[in-house]
Amino acid sequence: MIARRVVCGLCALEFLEDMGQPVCRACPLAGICHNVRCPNCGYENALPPAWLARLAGRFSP
Amino acid sequence: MRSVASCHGEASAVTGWPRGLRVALVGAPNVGKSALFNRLTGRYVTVSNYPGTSVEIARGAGTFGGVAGEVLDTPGLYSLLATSDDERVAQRLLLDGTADVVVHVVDAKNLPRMLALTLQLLELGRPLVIALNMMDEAERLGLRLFPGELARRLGVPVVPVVAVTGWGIAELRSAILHACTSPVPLPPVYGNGVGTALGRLRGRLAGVYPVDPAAFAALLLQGDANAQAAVRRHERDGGRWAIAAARDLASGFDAPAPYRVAVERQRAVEVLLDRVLLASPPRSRAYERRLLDWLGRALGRPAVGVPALAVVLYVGLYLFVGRFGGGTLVDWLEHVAFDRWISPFFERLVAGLPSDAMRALFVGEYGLLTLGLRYAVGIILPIVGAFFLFFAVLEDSGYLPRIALLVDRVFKRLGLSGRAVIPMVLGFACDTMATMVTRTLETRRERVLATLLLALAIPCSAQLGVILALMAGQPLVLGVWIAAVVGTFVLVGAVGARVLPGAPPLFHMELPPLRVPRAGNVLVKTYTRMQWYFLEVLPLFLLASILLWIADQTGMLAAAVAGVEPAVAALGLPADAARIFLFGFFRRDYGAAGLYDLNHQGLLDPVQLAVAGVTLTLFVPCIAQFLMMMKERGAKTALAMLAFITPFAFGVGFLVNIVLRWLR
Repeated sequence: MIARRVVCGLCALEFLEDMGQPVCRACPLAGICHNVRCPNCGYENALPPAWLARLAGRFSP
Repeated sequence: MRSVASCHGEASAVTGWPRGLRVALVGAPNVGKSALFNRLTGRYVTVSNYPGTSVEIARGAGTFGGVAGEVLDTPGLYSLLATSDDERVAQRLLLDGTADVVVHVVDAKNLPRMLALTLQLLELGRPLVIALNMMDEAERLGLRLFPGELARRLGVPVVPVVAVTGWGIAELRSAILHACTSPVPLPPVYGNGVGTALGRLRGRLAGVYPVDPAAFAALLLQGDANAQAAVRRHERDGGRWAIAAARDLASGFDAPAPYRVAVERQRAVEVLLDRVLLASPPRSRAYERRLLDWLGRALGRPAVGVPALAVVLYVGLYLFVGRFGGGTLVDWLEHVAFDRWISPFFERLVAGLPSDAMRALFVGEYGLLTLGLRYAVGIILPIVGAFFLFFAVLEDSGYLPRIALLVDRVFKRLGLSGRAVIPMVLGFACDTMATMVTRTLETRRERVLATLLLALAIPCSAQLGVILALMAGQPLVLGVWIAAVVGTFVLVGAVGARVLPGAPPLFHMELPPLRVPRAGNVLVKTYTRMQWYFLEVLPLFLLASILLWIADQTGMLAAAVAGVEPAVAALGLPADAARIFLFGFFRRDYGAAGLYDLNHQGLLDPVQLAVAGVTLTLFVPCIAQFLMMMKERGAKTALAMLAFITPFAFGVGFLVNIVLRWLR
């Protein structure tokens, strides 16, 4: 599976979702959390579930 | 004449690298370097600190045309003239000649800004490959690139790739392998005296260097301390002649040497780009793009940016989050959804429970449903929902980094580090997470200062939203709150920056293009954040209700409230306000919801509202943030901050009360 591309909302770094900071793995909400932390600045980027992203993509111009 | 690269001279055949081919990925931040690293390596990646530093280097195994190798993902690097710890590590890795092949990862969309580093990498005299990444996006922007022409001009392979999809990766692997047995690229030639000075300095370096001395000569001319240290090690005379010659040559320029060298490099880049890059954006979008580009630049400048920010905050935070989220939505949820439907339903449901205490656990003053669920769903959720929607619009439009840039300028005037902008901006979402992010700051001084300011004067999203909702109808009270909190931030920041020694580092932040936010993106981001917040906040609010219920039943709550009451009375607040300070220590938003409730019951006049709002904002951080402070800064520092913040917050609240009563 190809990881999704994320552009950080704060520092504009482009990274793959599985490259988020490993610190999140220790979080008790890691299993259900849809945020991915930018490896450059630490900003939490909201990464929607795949089904929701597809749905949004369908309605985007 | 060009020599042929031997890749450490360990073998002439491509199969002869006893420790494998070592490939270093180099490039500016945000060019997709790590995405390319993931493509070139397998699943198993080692992350270790570079020797003697806390900067992490990722290493992974990869194969290049059947030859096993190791790929190093280096920290982002704008120039070989390093200015941060991260850049110094990448610089050392390159100057040590650790890599057999250097791959310069370049963002194809921003080629003119990327090639200055390419020229510096050519000076290393090591096998070099250019990975022209994000070609798909460059094409979408209407850019026409000619990689073959660029390769011909630079004398190194240029491979177009799209790292995230894997397009061009096979060609890149092949180019990396062949670079090892290809002629070493020639260093670039610069004009206007810079080339001559570099040539002379290069002639002074007679020692044996791991890479071409031309790279050391360029850095020496620009006064780089690491290059000076290397020259001292490698030259027989301890590098005295060469360092003195560099100073002499640099003093001959009409401007600082780093500036002269940068200008000549950029000129060389412009010459290179002729016939390599053509821009032809689609006509229908050209006007819109030009307008957004102009706006994007203007919003980063104080003259336009500051008034624009004031308007955005007024409309977004005050009107939308405060009035609509905290007023209209909360009123409906509280008075209609909870008062008419939800609370009566649960009251009927638990009416059959055997004791008052059991019923109180669910529908009492601190009941799971009447306090925990109502605070989480009826008060906090609509406010943070409105806040997240507003935040998603800022984020998706690319405006957020421009706010950071503006605040950076203010920070520098206060004597604070520009880099500290990032955790400060994040603090408006969640202070606990922002405290963790302070670890990315370069010096201890910055980390301590940022942690203190986050704990003291940066309200989290829920707290900010509730306070705006409370004060939305009372502009004077809001004005007092803003003045007190901003004043505290400026005062403590300025004093702290002077008390804690150290120089502020340079701050780099990429500015993405400004764009019209897409409704789909905004709604999806808002939903995702609300879902995450709700999952986090609801269990904690319910737990808080249970703990408060236990404390209430055992009399511990009354004792704790009695302990806080004298301080609350000194602020001129009613005795009931003592509870919200205890709530606030549990969670910032829980305390804010308590303040909302107190005001809603008509227990606070405008002065008391201002005093309570200011004190609660400045008051000690919530438990989660305090634990994070202990983890990140150590127990001693965290306790010292707590010892400072608690009396300071009450002191400011006390002053606000005195001043407002006197003015009244």
